[in-house]
Amino acid sequence: MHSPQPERWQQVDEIIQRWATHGRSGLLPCLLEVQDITGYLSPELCAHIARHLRVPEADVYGLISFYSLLYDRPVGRVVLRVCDDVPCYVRGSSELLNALQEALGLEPNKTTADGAITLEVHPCLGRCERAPFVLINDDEIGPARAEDVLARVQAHLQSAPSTLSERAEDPAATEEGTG
Amino acid sequence: MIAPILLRRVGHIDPESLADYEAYEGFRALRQVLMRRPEQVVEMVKASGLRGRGGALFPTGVKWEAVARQPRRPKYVVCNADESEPGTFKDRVLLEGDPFAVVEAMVIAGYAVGASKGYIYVRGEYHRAYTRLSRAVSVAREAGYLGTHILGSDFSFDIEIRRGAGAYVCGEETALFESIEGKRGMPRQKPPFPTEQGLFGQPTLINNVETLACIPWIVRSGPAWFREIGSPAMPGPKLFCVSGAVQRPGVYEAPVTITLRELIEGMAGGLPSGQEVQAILVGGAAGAFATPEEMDTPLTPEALQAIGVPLGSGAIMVIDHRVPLWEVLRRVARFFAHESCGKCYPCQLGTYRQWEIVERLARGEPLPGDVERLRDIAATMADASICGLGQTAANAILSALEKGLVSVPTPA
Amino acid sequence: MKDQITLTIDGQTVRATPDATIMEVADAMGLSIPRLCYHPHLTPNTVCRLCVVEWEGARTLVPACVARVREGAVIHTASPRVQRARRVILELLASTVDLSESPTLLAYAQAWGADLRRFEAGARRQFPLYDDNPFYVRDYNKCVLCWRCVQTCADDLQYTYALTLGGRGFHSHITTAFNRPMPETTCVFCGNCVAVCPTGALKGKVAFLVQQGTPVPVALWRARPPR
Repeated sequence: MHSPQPERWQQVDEIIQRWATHGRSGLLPCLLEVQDITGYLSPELCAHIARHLRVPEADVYGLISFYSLLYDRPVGRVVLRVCDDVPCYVRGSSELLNALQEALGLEPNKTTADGAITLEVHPCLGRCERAPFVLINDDEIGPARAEDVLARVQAHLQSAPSTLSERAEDPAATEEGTG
Repeated sequence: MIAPILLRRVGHIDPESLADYEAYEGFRALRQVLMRRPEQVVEMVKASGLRGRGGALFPTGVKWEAVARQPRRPKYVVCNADESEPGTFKDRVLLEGDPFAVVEAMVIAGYAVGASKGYIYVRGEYHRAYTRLSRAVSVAREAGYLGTHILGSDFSFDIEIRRGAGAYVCGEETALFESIEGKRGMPRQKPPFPTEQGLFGQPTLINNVETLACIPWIVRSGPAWFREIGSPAMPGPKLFCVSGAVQRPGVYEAPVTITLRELIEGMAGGLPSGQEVQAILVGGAAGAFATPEEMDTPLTPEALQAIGVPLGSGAIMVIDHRVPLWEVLRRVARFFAHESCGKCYPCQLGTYRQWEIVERLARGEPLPGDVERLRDIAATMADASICGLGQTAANAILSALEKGLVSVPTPA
Repeated sequence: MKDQITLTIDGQTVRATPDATIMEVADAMGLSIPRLCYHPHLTPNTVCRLCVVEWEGARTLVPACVARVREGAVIHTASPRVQRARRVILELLASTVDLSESPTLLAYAQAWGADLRRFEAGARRQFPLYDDNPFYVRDYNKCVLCWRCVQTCADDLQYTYALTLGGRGFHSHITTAFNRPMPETTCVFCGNCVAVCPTGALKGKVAFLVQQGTPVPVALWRARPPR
């Protein structure tokens, strides 16, 4: 099947080839950079990366399942990370989180049915001077009020390009071997 | 109050401008260093009495010397910018506001210990810091501060930046190495220490961001000047991250002789009117609680030790009287259960059971013997865990119990 | 012959070579230091912490399997701190994992006074039985995460890399790439992982079926190849 966005698959291949020379030490940055484009790391993509970086597939999976910013299944186009650690809690993160859950109809660590928004409760995000703090993808909001967060989420949904994974198949399925 | 040193440029220069950095003393320390012998630089850091600002307070010069003496090549310099201790954000402020300082300090470190390659491992959630650092590294490289024959000398050094991917444990130095090597970030049993076998099994100098940020100033103004600031056991300026129930949460620079009260009521503007201090969590989730009565304690390691509190990363989380403290403890317990890497049994199992028990206590529904269970888990994690995560995972909870900050509900 | 050093273990003065581990020296003295992850043919991973001992002057306990002896060291292999750590680790394990086929661990529990039901109010790790190939079954409810199978499958012996650790913390577990059935992995069914498993989590198919009460010829017939 033909990918509708060949230039983005090309980006993925460029990333993989750039890190391939690093071998295993290139694995984490490669996965992070690829995920920035694809949204998540599918089994096919991982097999592809494993082959080019010469790392066992099992180890690639072991790595993804260890790091909380790596995803082995689709997540929302907009990922909302609400800090609920001590400094944010003291400044109202619980109320904020409840309001967001209610407005989005989402439990923590779940994604909306249309695959648009994921809500995560996050350990301390290190922006305690702006508590309560929320990350919307890499956009920072703090001190955050629920209505501001929701408005910003809407803005992101309208402007953020959909991730590759929502539209296309994985490269391993379409083009065999790139390196 | 002394003029800020570490924060001198933060907010006053364009963090993306090399010219701004150079206009504010930038890269002068490096020029000075390249005219000296590496041993002299190590000696200077030793003489300054600088101790690691990541939380462990290890004497920095001793570390530098140990790596410098290693005959094996290659050696590495690693900047630990995986700041993830709850309530800690000083390194982010430095990286976002003064990224060239870390680059300059790493080149100096590389020269001193004989390394030609450096890594900066930046927390994955610190997007802006990562962008600014990446820019600073490439700009510095173009300007000849990185790369081969730095400033026309025989010394070559370059820096690669790595992003973390959401694992607090990677702030532990050996877990950080594992992560750079492309593995699950699980700490190694020490010894061997990083100075002998660190990144890729090679001698490695690993320092925290704030520690490195002190280096150019030590070179510029001298170890004696550095020792005049702070206390004999903890010389130099220190960054404190004041958060929670204060008017002006933020990063404040002060010598460690400052008291908790001066920091909270003075620099951070005190609590909003009508609120009182209930407790202060010092040092992060791995830290311990100070009571309102202990607020006149200076933040020197000795004075803090006397009240059973570690300085740690310099996190000062102020909790006002309206906050249910069990809710705070729940979050601390949840944090460690979430962040345990799962390698060694005491931490893998202990952090989870601790969380379950704290949840029961917070709900007011403990089982008979739960406090004894907590104490046994705490002692076992502290004694038998591989790394600092497990060894400190019960500290805050134990300190709240021991200082009577929370009352223990009686089992039904 | 290497230079001998002198140290004290449990009040006895002993001589040893400086590259010896505490465990080796203690074993030679006839002391019984418990161990679980340790295996003489595998790289020590120091995960179980059952072999920890108290080294006077050290801040924490040290794992005897890798800590090397030093001149003048004073070591206690069963001090109160050591005893508590071992007891609590065994109690925590018993609350998480089915130890019914780990006679060694059950004996340790008795020896160190562990109350196996002390943490039973907590969650257990639960997994389906993986019966996906004709040669062995995987029952991770019995897995203590000693890593032996993963290491055996990888660089310590077989260089097959079918297994990995997944998840983290309490939710760590042994798995394959994307938890695929074993026949869809690089597994060559060498059986080495089964051989090193200390708790019955990995078991030969025939042994498993016999244990279930299935007569062996039928067992073999039932153990048909994958689709």
